[in-house]
Amino acid sequence: MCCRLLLLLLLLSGITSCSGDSELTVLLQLKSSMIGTAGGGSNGLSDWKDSSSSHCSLSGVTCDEDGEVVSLDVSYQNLTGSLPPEIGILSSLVNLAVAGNGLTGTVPLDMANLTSLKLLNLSNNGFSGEFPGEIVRSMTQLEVLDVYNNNLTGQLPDGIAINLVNLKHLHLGGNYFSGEIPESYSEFPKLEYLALSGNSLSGQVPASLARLEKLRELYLGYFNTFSGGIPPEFGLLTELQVLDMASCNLTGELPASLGRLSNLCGCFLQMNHLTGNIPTEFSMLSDLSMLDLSLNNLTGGIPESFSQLKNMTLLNLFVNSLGGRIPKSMGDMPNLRLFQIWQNNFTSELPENLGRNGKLEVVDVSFNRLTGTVPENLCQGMKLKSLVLMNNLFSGPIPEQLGGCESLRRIRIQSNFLNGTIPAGIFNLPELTLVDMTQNEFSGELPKEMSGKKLGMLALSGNSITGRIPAATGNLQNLQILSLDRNRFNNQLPEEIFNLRSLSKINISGNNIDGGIPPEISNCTSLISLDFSRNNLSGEIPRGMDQLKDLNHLDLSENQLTGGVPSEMQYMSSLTSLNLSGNKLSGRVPNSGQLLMFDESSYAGNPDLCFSYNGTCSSQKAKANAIENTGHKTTTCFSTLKLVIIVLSLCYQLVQCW
Amino acid sequence: MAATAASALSLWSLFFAALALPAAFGNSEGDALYTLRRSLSDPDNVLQSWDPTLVNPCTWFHITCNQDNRVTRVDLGNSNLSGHLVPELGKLEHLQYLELYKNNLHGTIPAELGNLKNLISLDLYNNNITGTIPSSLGKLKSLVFLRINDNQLTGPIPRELGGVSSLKVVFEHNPRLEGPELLGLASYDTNCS
Repeated sequence: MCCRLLLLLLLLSGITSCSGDSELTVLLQLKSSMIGTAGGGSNGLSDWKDSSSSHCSLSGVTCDEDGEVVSLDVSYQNLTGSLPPEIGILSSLVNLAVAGNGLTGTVPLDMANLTSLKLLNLSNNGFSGEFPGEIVRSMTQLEVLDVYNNNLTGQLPDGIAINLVNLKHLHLGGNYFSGEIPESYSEFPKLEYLALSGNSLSGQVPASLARLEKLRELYLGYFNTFSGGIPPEFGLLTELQVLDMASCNLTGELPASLGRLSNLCGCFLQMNHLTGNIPTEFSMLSDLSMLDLSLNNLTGGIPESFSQLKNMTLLNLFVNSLGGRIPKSMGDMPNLRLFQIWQNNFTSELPENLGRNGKLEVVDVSFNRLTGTVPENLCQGMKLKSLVLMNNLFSGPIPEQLGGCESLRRIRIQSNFLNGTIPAGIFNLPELTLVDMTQNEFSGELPKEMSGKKLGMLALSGNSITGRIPAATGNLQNLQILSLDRNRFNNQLPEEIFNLRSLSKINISGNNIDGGIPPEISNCTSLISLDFSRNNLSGEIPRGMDQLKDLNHLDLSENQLTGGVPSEMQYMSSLTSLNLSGNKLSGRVPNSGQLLMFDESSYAGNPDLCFSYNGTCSSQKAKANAIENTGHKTTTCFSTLKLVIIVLSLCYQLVQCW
Repeated sequence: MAATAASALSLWSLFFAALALPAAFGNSEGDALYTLRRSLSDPDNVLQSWDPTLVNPCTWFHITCNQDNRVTRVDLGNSNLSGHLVPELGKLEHLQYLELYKNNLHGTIPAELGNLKNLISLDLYNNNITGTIPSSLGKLKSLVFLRINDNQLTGPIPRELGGVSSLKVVFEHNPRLEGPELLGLASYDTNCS
């Protein structure tokens, strides 16, 4: 009874005076609100019970010598209720963390009572409504305020910098705050971390933020849509280590003054509308490790002095209008790991030493106008995962070293002028999944040994490769796409290819392949697309093609195939595109099932083929080539009047034919 | 505690940033397909190559693009997939072949598939698809193959499908589908031999 009255007093005056029991009551009230009505399955705070001996022994609760609750950490406890006003009763709290639950509702104004708070973490919940400044204005000890990733709306809390003289870490990102960044945010004397990213903020980025002398990390990007650009004053933030203003609608140029940020480690300005050149002053950023200026409208070149950036690990300049030559000295950058400058106008050669630092992992210089040869030591450190040189003017051979580059996963070098023989080792690389060397000038033969277990796509179309297609292609167990078209392959097709369980697309058109189509082809049941056109294939179309249930596209045109069109092809229910033209096929084209879909164009240029529907089969020349059906499951017929009529009329026509 | 929280939080921000990158760069076709991936269960790892951080989905296996890097084919027949289709598939404006047959898909056919104005073949046969056939499929003037047999579809075949002149519909073994022989609006598979 005494405690209940005192509790009432507590609510009014916010002073704790009762002994431990009342705090237990308050905590249990908190638990009940935080667990909420959906708390059914939740066993968060399961040890918080009426029968608990002392409130100080509850999990997440820490008391001081006087038994006052000074720390409450109930983060990640699966609490899906709300934070009640009673939280304001625990006015001795120094740390309050409820992060990573599913708490909803508004942030209670009674929290203003918590004037001793140093750390307030409400992040990763579903708090909604506004976050007015008065909640925190009295928390003069506050060092960390984190409301990241909630559903808060309205303006950013204002008028708080004057009071929060100890605030080091302010994270308001990942909400739906709108309006402008308050000028007063420049007045936090001790702020080291400021994140306003992932909101709906607008207006100009205040230059006055440059007054935050101790600022180490600044995140303003992602979904915000500012007007104007990067304030040049930001060059005064000499403690800054991370500057992230990506994807927030920035215009204007890169301020040269940013070159003064000698502690800058990460600079993320991608996905904006920045124009102008990369300032040479950026070469002075001696600590710079990651620079992302991609997806902007930058012009000019990479400053020669960029090679001074000894700590550079990531350089993203892709999708801009940059040009000129890549400074040769960049090949000597000791720490470069990711080099992505694709879709620009760069010319001349790649630095000869690129990769000699032994750390290179990703190179993407595609869609430029680069010339010269592929640097020899790209894979020096056996770390190269992705080599993308496509759509340039590279010439010369693929360096032999790449044949031993066991870390390689992707090689995309199509549309260049590369020549020579493809290094044999490439077909054995253990991690390689994709090889595209289409449209180059490669010659020589493919190796007799291939063991690339992870190779999914091998595309060598449009080169001058000769010799036989190796039987070893059948060892590439995971191969899905095999494109060898438009080369000079000769000799016969190895039947081993058709053992590939995963092969879905094979194109060997436009070569000099002779011999027959191996009957093993019908084992290759994953096939969706098959193009053998424009070769010298002879013999008959193999039986059993109907086992290729998924085959969509079949092109055997422009060969020397003889025999008939197997009647079981009518059961190839996935076939949507068929080209048998330009062969020496003969006999009657079956006129039922799936083959009803195709007209004469699929069979043109086979003078001895005849068709039932136009009477060409009645001529003496037509060989009686009605190939027998093998057993197939019949599909159900519909027992409607209409169907009967159609069947009868078909039968009538057949009778007429004979 | 505050210091480690701070560094963890900055890692969170970078992570959030990395996640936001592909969406904001806006390859909407890759995003749409990745939404499909997230709604599917893929025990055979058929979708392993579907990496949303790549610039476009054109090097993903089972995806074919045209010369402008727009998706023209999705070939996922017989791939042991379960889960359901997503309306985002309707964003693949250049899609010609949508092959999802012989899986374990459930849920309904999204009406948004009616936006696929270049679609030639829609193969959903041998799944567990329920609901009705959206009338929006009548907008698909290029559609030649609509194979939806062996599902659990209900309701009538929409008469709008009659307006697609080259259409061949295969719909058997949908026990609750009404009136398939709807006044000759759809020609059907006379595979009696």
